[in-house]
Amino acid sequence: MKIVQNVIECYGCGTFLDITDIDSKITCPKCYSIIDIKNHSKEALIYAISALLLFLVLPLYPLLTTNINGTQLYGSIIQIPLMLYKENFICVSILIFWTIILAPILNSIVIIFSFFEHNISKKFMFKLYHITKEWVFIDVFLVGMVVAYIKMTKTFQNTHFEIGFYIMIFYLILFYLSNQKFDEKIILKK
Amino acid sequence: MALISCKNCKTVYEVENYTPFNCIVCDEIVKKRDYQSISIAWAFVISAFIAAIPALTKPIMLITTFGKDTHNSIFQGVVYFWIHKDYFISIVIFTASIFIPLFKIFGLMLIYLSIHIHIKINTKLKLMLFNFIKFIGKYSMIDIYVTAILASIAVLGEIFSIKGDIAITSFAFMVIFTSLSAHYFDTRILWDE
Repeated sequence: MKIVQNVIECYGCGTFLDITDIDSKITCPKCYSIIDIKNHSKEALIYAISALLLFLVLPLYPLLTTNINGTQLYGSIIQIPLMLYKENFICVSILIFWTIILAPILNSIVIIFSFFEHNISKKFMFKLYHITKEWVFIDVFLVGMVVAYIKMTKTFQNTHFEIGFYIMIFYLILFYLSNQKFDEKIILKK
Repeated sequence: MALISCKNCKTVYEVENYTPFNCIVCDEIVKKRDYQSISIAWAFVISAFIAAIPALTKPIMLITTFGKDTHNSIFQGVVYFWIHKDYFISIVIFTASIFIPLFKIFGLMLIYLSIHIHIKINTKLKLMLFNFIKFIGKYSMIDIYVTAILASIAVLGEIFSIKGDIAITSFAFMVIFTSLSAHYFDTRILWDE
């Protein structure tokens, strides 16, 4: 048994493809799946740090505000799972907390840690990276915010997006870029 | 000699036979196909189907206006917007919250069923359908997020408040079970028929 370099398996159909001289993407000739060949870049570290810093200031700002009978109401990212928790929807609040707060933070932390020496198990970090990457639903949450905004404006005219919403858009871009420029194999090689 | 790869870290090995072994790089078990994934995928998709029944029929949102409680299911929301001639929102809610979740469940069931019984569908088409279901999977969470956002903002007690209702948990489970089902399924099995 020996390791073969420059060959990748298409997990759509199981075909092995030669990736010598291929920079970014390859299309499987059998099932037409597009396979990304990642090029690791130190830019991933910059994007991950920026994303994490943005995420740390996010709870300070409201996402949406509305005015009902002269009372100003607003919601921040922390309030959302917290409110469901208070209403005894514990499973849903944990799920929301995981998909929009914990998974994004952990994902950025894993990327940052992989650039430095540490004593944490490489296999654990690799698993954590894969799990967090798959469970970050910030993009879905942003779509949800737009739908919530449309629903609110139907009843209350004074509904506005606040700075937190725009921070989230920037966060999403940085998160995407950090994962795009990061090759997870580096975690196991360290 | 044959090629085999670790699905976890994508390391490719040249081996003499397909006996499972532990990956040198990440220590995961390397095997040619994960046939156990069919049972796991079936278990999750059946659970998703069961969760879909209360999710789509029971109320998902509780709206209190001047002390009067109104329980709203997804179907009621669709009908409400349709009656009030907000056809676009009605269609969006119907598509995102009813059609897509059910399409995902029945689509996955069809794909899994095609392994057990002969169904005349091109394998490329099955894979395309599977990839599409996997891609749109998380977007069914929109309803959960919308309810959670509204519940966190509209908190004026008896005057006006929005809260989650009984179906929100089932809906969340339905989405998660469908995503897990697609996640665990090894699509390479489709090509081995």
